[in-house]
This record gives sequence, C-alpha cells and structure tokens, in this order.
Amino acid sequence: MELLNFIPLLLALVFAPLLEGLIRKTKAIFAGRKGFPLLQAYRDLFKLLKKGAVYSDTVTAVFKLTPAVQLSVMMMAAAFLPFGGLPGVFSFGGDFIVIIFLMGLSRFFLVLGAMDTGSSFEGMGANREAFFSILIEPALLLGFAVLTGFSAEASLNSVIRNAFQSLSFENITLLLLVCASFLILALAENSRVPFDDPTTHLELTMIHEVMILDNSGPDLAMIEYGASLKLWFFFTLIADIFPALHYITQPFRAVLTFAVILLLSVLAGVVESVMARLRLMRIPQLLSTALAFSLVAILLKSIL
Amino acid sequence: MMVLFGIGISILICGSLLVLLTGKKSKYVHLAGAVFSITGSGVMAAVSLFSLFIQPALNTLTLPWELPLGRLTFALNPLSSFFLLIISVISLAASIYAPAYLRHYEDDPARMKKHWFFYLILTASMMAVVTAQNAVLFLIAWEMMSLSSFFLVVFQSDKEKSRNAGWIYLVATHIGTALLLVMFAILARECGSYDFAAFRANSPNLTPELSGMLFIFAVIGFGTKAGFLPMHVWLPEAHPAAPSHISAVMSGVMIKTGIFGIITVLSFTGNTQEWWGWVLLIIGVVSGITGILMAVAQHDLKRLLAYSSVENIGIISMGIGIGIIGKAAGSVPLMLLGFTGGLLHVLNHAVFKSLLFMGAGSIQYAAHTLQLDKMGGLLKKMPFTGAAFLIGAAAIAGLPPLNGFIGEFLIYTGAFKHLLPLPLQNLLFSIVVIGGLSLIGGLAVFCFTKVFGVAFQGSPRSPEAADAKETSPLMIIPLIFLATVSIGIGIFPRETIGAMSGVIEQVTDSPIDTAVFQTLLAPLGWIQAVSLSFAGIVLLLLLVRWLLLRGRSKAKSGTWGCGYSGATPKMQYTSSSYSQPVLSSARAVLRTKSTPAIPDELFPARTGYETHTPDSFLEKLFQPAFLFVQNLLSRIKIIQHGNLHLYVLYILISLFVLLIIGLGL
Repeated sequence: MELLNFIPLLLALVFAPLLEGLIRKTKAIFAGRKGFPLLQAYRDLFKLLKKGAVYSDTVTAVFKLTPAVQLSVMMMAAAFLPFGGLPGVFSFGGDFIVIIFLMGLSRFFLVLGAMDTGSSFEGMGANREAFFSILIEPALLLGFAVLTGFSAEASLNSVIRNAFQSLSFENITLLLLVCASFLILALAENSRVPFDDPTTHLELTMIHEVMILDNSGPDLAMIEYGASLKLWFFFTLIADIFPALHYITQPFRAVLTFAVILLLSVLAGVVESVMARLRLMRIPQLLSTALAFSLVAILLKSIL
Repeated sequence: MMVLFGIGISILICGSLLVLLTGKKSKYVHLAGAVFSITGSGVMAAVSLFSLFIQPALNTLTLPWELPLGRLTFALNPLSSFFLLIISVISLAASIYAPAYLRHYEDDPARMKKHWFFYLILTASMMAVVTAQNAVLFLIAWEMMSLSSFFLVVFQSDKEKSRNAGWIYLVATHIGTALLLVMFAILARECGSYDFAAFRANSPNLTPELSGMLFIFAVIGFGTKAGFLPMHVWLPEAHPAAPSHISAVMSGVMIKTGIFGIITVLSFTGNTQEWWGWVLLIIGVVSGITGILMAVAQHDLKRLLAYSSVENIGIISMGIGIGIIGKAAGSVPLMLLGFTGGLLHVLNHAVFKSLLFMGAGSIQYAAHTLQLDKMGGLLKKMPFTGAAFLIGAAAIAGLPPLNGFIGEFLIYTGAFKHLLPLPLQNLLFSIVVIGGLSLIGGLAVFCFTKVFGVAFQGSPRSPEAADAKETSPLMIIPLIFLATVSIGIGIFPRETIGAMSGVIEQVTDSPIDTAVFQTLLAPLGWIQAVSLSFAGIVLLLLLVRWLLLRGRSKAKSGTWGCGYSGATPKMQYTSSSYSQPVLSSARAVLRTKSTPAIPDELFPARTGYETHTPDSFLEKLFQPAFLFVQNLLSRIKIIQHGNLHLYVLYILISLFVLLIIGLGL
C-alpha cells in the first residue's frame, strides 16, 4: 500500500461536498438568481455538526446506527475508487461487487432507519428507495460485466486500466454505452432529477429526502456528507471510464478527470433546470433504459 | 470414531422410545426429549467435526444386519460430514429452543411425547440419509425422514389448516420418492448391486442418455424435497403449519437433503454433461426470482419465510449448476467457484433461515400472531430477538459483512471472471447469472426490509404487539448463537472455505489445484479486511457523534408528521402497502388479488385495502391435475361397491385369467 494510493480517497473526502454546491449554482444561474456560494454545502455540514439532536420516541438503535453505517459505507467505497489513472487504496478481484453490496447495506439501513420512525411519509420514501434499487443493481452489475470483458482479473482498478488497452471503434462504442447507463444510474442512485427532487419539500413526491426527515444535528451531517461522497463516487466512476481521457498522459489526466467530474455536476444542474421530475410510475421505465444500455453493450461485447 | 457415530444415532433412536415412557408431567417429557436430542446431536456434531478436520479419511460402519436387497452401511466422507455438521448443529439449536416455545401445550403431555418422539426420529433419519451407503437403506431413511416430518407438520392436528398442509406435504414428498425409487432401481439394474460404492464404480459405464435420464429423475425427485419450482408448493403450506423450531429444522436442514441427493447422484452418473448445469442454473434462477416475488407478496411471516427458502434453494441450485457447467466446459476456476458458492450457501441458509424461523416463532409466542400487519414496534419490546432477527434479515438479503454475501460473492466472481468458449453461451451465462442473481438480491433486500420494518419497527399495530414481552433466555440463546455464526462466517470467509476444501474436492471429483484455489480465495482475505475496517469506521463515527453530542441537548419528541399531529399507528406503512409497487410491476407472474375499497361518498366511513397472492402453481397446475386424476379414477369406482360376494368373483376371474396366461393358451 503506497501513500500515493490514498490520493483518490483524500480528493473524495475533501471535494465531495463541492459538487452539490456546483449543482445548486448551475440551477441558480439558470433561474437568473445569484444563488448560494459554492462552498455553502461545507458550511451547512459544519453548522449541523455544531447542533444538538432530536430523536423521535418511536426510534430504536437502528435509527441511531444508520448515519454511521451509511457514511462508513461511502468512505469505504471512496477508498476503492481509482481517480484518473491513480489506483485506490483497496483493490482485489471482484472488489466492485463488494462495493455494490456495501451500498446495498447502506440502503438496507437507510430504509430501516426510515421505517423506524413509524411515519407513513418516511415509509413511503423507504419503500420507493427499496423498490427502485431492485432495477439499479442489475444494471450496474451488467455494466461492470461489459467492462470486465476486457480484463482477466477483474478489480475496479484493472477494469478501468484495461478498458483502454485497445481503443478500437467497437470498444469506444461499448464504453460510451456503459457511460450512458451509469449516468442514468448515477442520477437515480443520488436522488437527482428526474428521479427525485432534492429540493422539494412536498413529502409525497420525495424519496431520499423524506427518508431522512427525522434526522438532525450530527446525524444529518453524516448522512448529507455520505450522500455527497456517493455522488462523487458515481461521477468519478463515469469520468474514469470516459474514453476521451485515455489519450492524455499524467498528470494532466488526473486534472482533466477532475474537470470532467465538475462538468458532470454542471450537467446534473442543467438537467435539473430544464426537466421536471418524472412521475413515480415512469421511473422504472427510465431505469429499464439504463438496464437496456447495459444489455445492448453485453450483446455487442459477446458478438464482437 | 464410527463407534461414536453409532452411539449418537442410538441415543437419538432409543431416546425417541424412552421419551414415550416418561410420566405424565410435561416438564419431564421436555427434559427427557431435550436431553436426548442435545446429547445425540452434540455427539454427532463432534463426530462430524472430527471427520472433517482431524481424520478426513473415509470411515465406514457396516452393521452385521442384512436388509432385504441391501446392507446396513454408513460412511462418513467429507460431503456427509459437512451435511452431518449442519444437521446436528441446527437440531441442537432447535432442541434448546423447543421446550420454552412449546409452553402453551404444557397441559397436553401426550402431544409433547409425540412431538419429541418424531423430532428425535427426524433428526436421526436425516443423519442416516446423509451417511447411508446403500440405496435401500437410503430410501428407508428418506421415508422415515418424510414421515416423521409429516407428523410434526400436523402437530396441531386439531386444526383443519394443519391437516391440509400435512396432506399436501405427504403427497408431494411421495411423488418425489416414487421417482427416486425408479432412479435407484435403474442404477441397481445397471450394476447389479444396491451399494453406493458399486454405483460409483459403475458410473463410467453408463451411456450418456441413461445418465441424463437418471439426472432428470434426481432433479425432480430430490428437487421436490428441496423445493425447486414448480414442486415447491408444499413448502408454503407445511412450514407455517409446523411449530417454528420444526420449520427451522425443515427449512434450514431437511430441504437441503434434496441438494445432498442431487450432488450424490452426480457421482453415480459419471460423464457429467454441460446441459445438466444449464438445467440447474435455469431452475435456480426461475425458483429464485419467483420464490422471492411470492415472498414479497406474503403477509404471514412464516409463509413468507417458506417462499424465501424457495429463493435460497434457487441460489444454491445456481451455484451447483455453474459448477457443473465449469466442470463440463473444462474451466477449473468456474467449477470451483460454482460448487464452493453453492455449498457455502447450503451452510449459510441453514444458519440464517433457522434463525429467522425461530425468530418468527418467538414473535408468535410473544405477540400471538404471525400476521405482519398486526405487529410493529417489536424491537423495543424484544431487543435480543429483534437484534438477532436483524442480523438474520441482513444476512439473507446477501449483505456484507455477513455470511449470505460470501456465497453470492463466489457465484458472482464465477460469472464475472471466467468466460466460456462460445460467445452466445457467454452472453446467456452472464445475463442469467449476473442479471438473475442481482435481481434476486434486490428483491431480497426489499422483502426483508419489509419484514423487519413492519414487524419490528414503528409503533405496535395491535394490542397484542403492544403487550409483547421478550421471551425466555432459552429461546434467545439459540438465536444469538446462530447470529454469531452468521457474523463469524462473514468475517472469516477464507477460513470457512479452507475448512471445506475436502468437501469441494469430493464434489468436484478431482484434487484441488492449490494454486488456483488460493488465487480464487484471495479476495476473501480482502473482504475480511474490508469488513473489519468498515466496522471500525462505524465505531469511530459513533464515537465522534457521542463526543459531539456530549453536553448538548438530546431532545425527545414525536415523529415529525409534516405538520399533521393526529398520526396513529394505523397510518404506518403496512405489509400490503410496502409490497404494492413490486406486486403491481409483477402482475404478470403473481396474479395478486386486491380488494381496494375506495371511498366515494362525501363523508367516507370505514374502508380497507387487502391483497392476497395465491400460489398460481398450486391453483393452476396441481389442483387441476389432481382433480383430473381423481375424476379419471372415480370412474373405476363402480367396481368397488362393498359387496363381498362380487369381490370373491373378481378374485376368481383374475385367477382364471392368470391361469390362461400362465398356461399360454
């Protein structure tokens, strides 16, 4: 384990809340407002850390465990993540399966944390979260199956390294298909428009926000920080497999990866500004589109 | 050591008879039953551990007692020892649990005696099934196992529902056994002996067609016991009817003897063909997805768990199917990963499913209901049961750092790493395994968040749930023990699988290539590191929060009702409402019937919403089929009228006909 391997983790821990700020700023500019300062998300986190906590009478230890489990999972996920050619802290065959299932654990706890309050609003959000994830996981794993087709020993590092060993027209097509699939999944997993609206306060339409309705103080800070790490994880993953970046040598590749991550956040902001969130019934259809992208890529992969 | 094996079985069998002699006090019946069961299972656990780790050579015990067509031969090979260990540990846990659980029947010592008699017979016969080395002995043990479990299913024989469940189980299991009889008869005809050793020696001589046919017989015959779709219909009837510790033993252990049977038959048929693997893989995926979808739709906790057993048997079947495909395609890593994943899931499912069934029993004991919609808030009332149940729920959903994840991880790595020779094979393989398994995984998370969220969290939905109290320590200890095993396997996966290497060697029928095996297991060491650092960070974060909140206000308040302050427990998400999105998306498969009473008057009074999901296979496939057979056979009834004189005439006519045939006229 080299010190260099900690760079991606460090970047994630430091810069993750920035993305939320960038998305909000983009939306503000689109709306003709001045908007929050870019670093508002950091300030919010510190503000929450300074507060006390309010717990509902109905909750149990599960509720109090949830923020820690969720943040811990996201920190672990960030530790696996390569960044623009720099390898992550952990790397072993099948590590991406472990990450996806760790995220499953975090979801399990988030859902139960919401069910713990006995509120029907939070039950609703929990239910939706659990339901949509049924389609997200197969799409993610099938996407990875396409990527591992390039490599013998499949770890997140090797997948990303070897994906670029032959940049033929076919491979670029496959990578772009997976990128498209992952982009949809990233928006879904991070509760962004068109799946969920992170700013709405109408509880009936929300998914993620409504699940954490009863969290406060440091608990809420942990959950918010964990959520921003998750957003960072998905955007970095997409930037890592984005074919164009392969033509660039270090250290510019790392710098450009960072730029792509920021661009993706702006893109998410643009999507949120020009689109409304989908009706709940339509969400499975969009997730199926992501699944279909992955399936088409697998089909191409096995024919080519 | 086989002497010890003999002693163990004898304790169980003699115990079963001695229990019948204990006096009229339930206390003594329980004491005797539990003591015999615990010592017998304990001895067997020791025997299997000894044979797995200390003396892995083949141990045979032949009793000088000739059966018709066979000999009384038991043997402990690694595979038998592995199953023996699972059987004895789970039976042990269940017999610690039983006396306290059965307290409601204290005034009925006769029923207690029957229970312990059949329970001890069931344990002994399961142990005999996995160690028998002769087809006749195997079938006798198999039948004893089926019958004793039948009597345990109809434990509450005063209830019609119980009797119906028992009836369905009895019919299903005997259809399976009939096929097994045929299969063993064909095998015996081919090699002139009923000994398993002879079957194995003769296996290369079988033609591919014949071995294929035998394999199909085995899949249907043993699959009925295991709960493969569509022969699973008895599980959701029998498991809820039986007392909970019996459901735990049946679902955790007994259905696995079906898997044991299939693996054993593989060694009798020789020349394994690739399509066998595909058959098991497809059966596995279909059972898995349908099983868990049906589980999501259930509102009765034990019925739900029974369907989830169908799902997990599906995962096991997928693992073994992958192993066979790997073996036939000559891919050693795929073979090792598939078989190891499948076998590990056998162990894992035994652990967490018994835990969950006994947990369900504890809920029934404390809250007097199995209906999820009458529970709620139980974690506060029953913290230990609830904590153990939470671990079981997370484990069965396949989440790290628990044991359920490890088995699925191995199966996934098989699908990801090892490509088959033909492109279309690869395509199908990766879509079926990765897509299927992740769909099952997602639905399992959905299903068990529903169970835990509705049963243990929120506020109580009924007075019974509000009055629930934690059960006695004797009912908690087995749960905590199984939860610990679940965590233990999750944190020490490499050690667990290392201990199973003899079993894997026997199943794959080839010495393990240590270098390949170690490479395959390398990620498990990493998983351990990841699990431990994950747990470390969780503890650290909890500490940080504690430090931050020290001296600050930690207020208690009601749940935030978004401005509405009249919320009642009835407004919580229920089992029906939680499963609604899945049920409506899976309409094509599930055929859920719902009775939505949408209020349409100005001042709506009472209204309700109910869903009921019948088992389409039972209603659309088996019931019509059996009705057809019944109608057909009832036509023959006219010859059966109770008139003795005419019966004598029948005999005379048949004799006459036989005479003519015999004389060749």
